[in-house]
Amino acid sequence: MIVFKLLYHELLNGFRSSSFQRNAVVSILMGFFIFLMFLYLLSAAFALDYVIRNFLEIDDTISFLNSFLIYYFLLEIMMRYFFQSTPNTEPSPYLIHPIHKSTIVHYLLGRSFFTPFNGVVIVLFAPFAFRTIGIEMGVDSAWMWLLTLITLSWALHFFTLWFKRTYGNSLWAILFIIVLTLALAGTDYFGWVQLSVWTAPFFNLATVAVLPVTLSIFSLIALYLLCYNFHKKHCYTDDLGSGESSKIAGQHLISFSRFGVIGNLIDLELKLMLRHKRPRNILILTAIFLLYGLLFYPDYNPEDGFVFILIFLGIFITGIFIMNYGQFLFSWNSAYFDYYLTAPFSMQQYVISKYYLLSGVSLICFLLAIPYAYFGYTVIIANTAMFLYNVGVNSILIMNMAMWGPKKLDLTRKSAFSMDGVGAAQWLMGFPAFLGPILIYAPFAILGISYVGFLVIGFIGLIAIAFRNPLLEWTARRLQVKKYQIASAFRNE
Amino acid sequence: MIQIANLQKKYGQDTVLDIDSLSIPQGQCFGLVGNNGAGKTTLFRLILDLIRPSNGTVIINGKNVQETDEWKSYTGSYLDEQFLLGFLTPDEYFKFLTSIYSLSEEDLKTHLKSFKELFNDEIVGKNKYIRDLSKGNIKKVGIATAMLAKPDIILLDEPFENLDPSSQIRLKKLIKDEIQTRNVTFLISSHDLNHVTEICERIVILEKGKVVKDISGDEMTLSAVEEYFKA
Repeated sequence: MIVFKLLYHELLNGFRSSSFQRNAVVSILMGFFIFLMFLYLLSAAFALDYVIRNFLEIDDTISFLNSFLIYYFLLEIMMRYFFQSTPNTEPSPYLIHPIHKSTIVHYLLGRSFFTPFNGVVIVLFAPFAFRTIGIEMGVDSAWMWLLTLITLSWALHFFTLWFKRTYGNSLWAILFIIVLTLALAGTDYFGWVQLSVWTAPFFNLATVAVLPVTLSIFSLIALYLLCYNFHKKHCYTDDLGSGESSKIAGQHLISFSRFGVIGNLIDLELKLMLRHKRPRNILILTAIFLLYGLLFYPDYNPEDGFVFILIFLGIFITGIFIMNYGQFLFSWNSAYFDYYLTAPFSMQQYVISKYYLLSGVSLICFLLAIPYAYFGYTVIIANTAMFLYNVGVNSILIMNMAMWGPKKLDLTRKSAFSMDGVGAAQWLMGFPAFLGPILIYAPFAILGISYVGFLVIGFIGLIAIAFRNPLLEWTARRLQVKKYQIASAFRNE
Repeated sequence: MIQIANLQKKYGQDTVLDIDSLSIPQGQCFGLVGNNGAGKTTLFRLILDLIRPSNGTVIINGKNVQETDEWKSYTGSYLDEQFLLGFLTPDEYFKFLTSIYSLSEEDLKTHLKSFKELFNDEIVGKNKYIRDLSKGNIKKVGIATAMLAKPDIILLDEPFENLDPSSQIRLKKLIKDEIQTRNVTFLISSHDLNHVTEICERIVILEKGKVVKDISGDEMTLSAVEEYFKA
């Protein structure tokens, strides 16, 4: 069977990859996380009926859940869109051999099917199906209902593949999906358009009739065929491998080039961010984390004063970019690091440009987070202190930690959830950023004068900002020493 | 212009480069040949301070390259794709360099004009990222960037590789013109003995990291160089 040979090649490719060991460690960690997630999901699934009945005080758990399913599926689309990778087996070596194109495409699609996302729906709803629906309405009902959900979820799998291939790389598609989901949820909440009410009958019917399950099986087949035809039509090396080519992003960006070399370097970095998926996702993540405060601040009472959670939120909201982008600070330039070493600017100018980029984005986050003042003036004071600390201390800290065994990054790869370039150092980098302010804060909190802790954190940040020039000089000197090692790591992976 | 003394590069026990002394005067067109693994790229990387020498120094204009950044402002180089920002279009890249070297728009225009033939209308004004260009065109962009700021020293590693025959001839002409119009030092490594003997006035042959032959003047002919590789 040709399929087995293709699978065998794929295994070989994994084992013989130069970064096998690193990938293996990362895969084991990822596998562990996925296993944990499944345990959580499973316990949530078993508690589902109990939670709805006792906490929401709704007796008809089945129809309540059915009205909610539409949001589950919308969420699933979003999750799949962000995290599910499209089939990226390089088909070109096979295309010239006498293997049917249809075989290759079936193989690619079939392989893509084995992702944890396709198991979530089973884990999450099977217990409910058999423990609640099965007991109340019979095992047949449970099966029909569950099958409907499973096939719908799997249909979404192929929908996502097709959608990502067609619209995948535009920022607008992502925004569109987010806005659409929020709008639907909002209108439902305010009762303008009751999407949940419209879709509930479909799932209710699924427990008593075969029509819904038939429909969803057909939709699965139809979407598979859509995907199949699309991929078959585009089974050319220039189509499958590299998608966009002629669109040039960020050409008319605000330019900092009038600020000399450093401004020019910042311009480059901005273009780099807009033109590659991975740094672009970091930007999106930064924006999403701005909303992080909405989860916690509503529960915060200004009379509690300067509590610990404010440190955590402040560092996150104003510093997530410094941490996320900074952990690969030099790896972003790994494809042309040799040029940076021979170009007519000094390591110091290079380092300064990175510093201004990190602090600039941090400043923007800080400004955008000002409306959180609504939850109390203490929030603003806390965020200001954390912002100063992030810009003064954490940015320098992360810049120096980024010199610790950086890895080459291949930015042309398109997977959104790539573990490329992640090593032990990158996992650990976030901790010191939080540890510093917590250690400063702790003694003051114990003494019962926690506001002093915040003032001291902000003050230390301010001092570090005042001394940024010697600090950056020191950073540049360290880079000057480490540059050979970094450059050689970037050259041969 | 460039003085090399006691230069050694070792990886563990392997000595990949070992040059007692080599001096390249200003204005010389210096050709470096040798089989694969002879140490050509290593030598270039050491000159550009991209790898740390195990021993010895490279001195450009009286200054150790490891200790200053000065040489960067008058040394242009293109060794491989690690020297190009692949996510820019060629136009954006040229513009960036113009600004980095504080040149004027006019300078860039004249420079691109001299490359017009070599570029063959496939590079300027095309909305394409550098990384999506063909290998030959990537090389042309790299060479053009190395020569952009009219540097005193130009290092090119295998400039003729991947170029089509007409481009090879055009590139040779371009280099010759550059040598004639200004006092520029060229360091060119190549596997193509024909091209390199045609443009260079001095040829150094490397083998296993050592200088085995250093010929210049009248005795430097294609047959003299070929003689060595036949044996």
